[in-house]
Amino acid sequence: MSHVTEAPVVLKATGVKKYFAANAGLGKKKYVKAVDGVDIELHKGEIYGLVGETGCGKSTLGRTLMMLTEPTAGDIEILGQNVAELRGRELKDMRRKIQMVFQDPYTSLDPKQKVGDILMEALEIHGIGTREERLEIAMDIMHKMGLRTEHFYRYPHEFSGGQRQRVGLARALILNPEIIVCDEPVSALDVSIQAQIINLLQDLREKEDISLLFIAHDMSVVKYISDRIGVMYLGHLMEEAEGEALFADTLHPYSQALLSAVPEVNPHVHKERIMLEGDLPSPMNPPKGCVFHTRCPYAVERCSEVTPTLKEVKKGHRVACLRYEN
Amino acid sequence: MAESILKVKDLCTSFNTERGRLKAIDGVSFEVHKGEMLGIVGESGCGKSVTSQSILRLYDEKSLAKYTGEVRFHDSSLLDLPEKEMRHVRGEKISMIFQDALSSLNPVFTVGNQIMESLLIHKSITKKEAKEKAIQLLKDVGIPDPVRRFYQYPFELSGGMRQRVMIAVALACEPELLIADEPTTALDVTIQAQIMDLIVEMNRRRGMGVMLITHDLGVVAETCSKVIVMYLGQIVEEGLVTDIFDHPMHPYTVGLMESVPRIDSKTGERLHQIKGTVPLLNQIPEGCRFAPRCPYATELCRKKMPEFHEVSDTQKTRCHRMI
Repeated sequence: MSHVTEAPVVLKATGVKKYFAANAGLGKKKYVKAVDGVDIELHKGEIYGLVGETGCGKSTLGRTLMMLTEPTAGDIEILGQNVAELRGRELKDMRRKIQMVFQDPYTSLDPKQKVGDILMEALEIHGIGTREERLEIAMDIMHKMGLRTEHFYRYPHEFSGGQRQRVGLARALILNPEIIVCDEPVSALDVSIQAQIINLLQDLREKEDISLLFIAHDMSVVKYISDRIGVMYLGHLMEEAEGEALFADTLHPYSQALLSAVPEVNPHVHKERIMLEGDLPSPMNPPKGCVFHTRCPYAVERCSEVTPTLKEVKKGHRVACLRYEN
Repeated sequence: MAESILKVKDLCTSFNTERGRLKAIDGVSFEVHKGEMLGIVGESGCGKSVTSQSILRLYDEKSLAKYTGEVRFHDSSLLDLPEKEMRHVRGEKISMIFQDALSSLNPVFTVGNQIMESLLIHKSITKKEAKEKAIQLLKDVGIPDPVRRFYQYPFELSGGMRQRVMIAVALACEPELLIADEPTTALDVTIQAQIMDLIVEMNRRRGMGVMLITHDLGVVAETCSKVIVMYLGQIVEEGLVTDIFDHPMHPYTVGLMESVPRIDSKTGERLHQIKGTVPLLNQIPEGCRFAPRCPYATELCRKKMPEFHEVSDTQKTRCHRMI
């Protein structure tokens, strides 16, 4: 879907870093380098899938882009405005334009509020409409999400997991945002429910022209939904390409291993698996040079000395690996 | 065919709840043979875990759970064994690994201690021998530097390592049957691949039977030889892995297969949806339990529960359309 990459950029992050202070004992200060210099762009109407394993920094990146935490370094531009410069009213207005859907629909909804109130609260905060109008907007969005009128007066615990995730989506959409960050929106759901939510997200993109940053660890789900995909490892973006291209022509050794580990839903296929040695290194003490070199089957000495940067090697296909640098 | 080690017949487990007695599983029958890897699949709340935990009678029988039917392990009937003898089955003859390794391991004992514990309880060996065996086991499950790890606590290990330790504990007494309840669900795909490889290797090398409970159809397709599909406390389909994946018969199995996003799918294709949600246990529909969500349901389906019948030598299903 190349048309998407030609659409205007709605979100642009340059050199974003997010370090968390950690106590290393004996008064020594150390930092967990959760996100360590990521450049990422999101275009209008695009679904960008961000994948990686636990602890790779994908959620932290999502939260940083959402302005939920301040980046340690780097610039974030949303709809052409540098968010670090926004204050007061402008900042509040910007928050309306970028919304989030969380992984766990059980804990991200207030158990003491009726679903209708949860939805209307967002409108109230941003001073949209009178009470009657708000009610109407909320009802309307619920119907769009496949929820029924009587659901309006129910509490979150009365819903199934899939329905709760619909409420979570409705809450994000009610403010008419331009961008939605979905952090593992389907990981907690069963496959049949997962399918409903994925289809719903695709409809949304088509009808509303919303841009989605879709964070997930399930490669097949991400492939299904994304126009472009970025692969993260230990706080770095290792590879980025259009969905089909990434799967047909995987360049980075880490992406290759990650893809080969996904089990095939077909008993007749026997995949050659690239087994990665060992565990993820600690983000407190990431390896020097290329962060992946300790587990990379192709690592040479230079990999432990030089940190590769993300470079475009084919049209729209960027990779951070010394093997592709001349 | 290999010797049968576990035979479950008409197993029902019901629980006392505020809403009365609820049957979580209702008439489950299957067999596990020596060296076989059986997959049990289904969505949350379909009774996969209850089935596995009922086999080892892990629920409190005094106030909570009631089992009926038969669970035969070789010649002994597990549901009739006194608690004292049951203890010799758990961990020694039949072992279990759970989804969440961190909460299943004891945080205040070292890894080595926990592996030795089951050896010292079940086998008559000295502490020194147990220690040697434990270190060997850590090595077998692919933990580097096993001597150092022996003295470490669970919190010092990564998720994948902890799951390996759990497997080591489970394998310590060389059980004949391993029940793995979602062993890789909490793990990343690269680690999942390592752990599944290990389970398959142990299954082949030791001829140990494995019951793999999972909701991940990909894992089942790659490792199991036989598959059981459960829905709302019943088995709705059973067959060889090729039967289930190539020509599923039950509309629920078909729906499940089609709703999984596949790695070889085209971007942007629509996924198949199974309409509605799994009903609650106190609202089990009359007739076929899947009827309210089934695209082919007829009057008959809503009235009469279909028999679990054979459709071929290896495949059985519970659907009126196939009779």
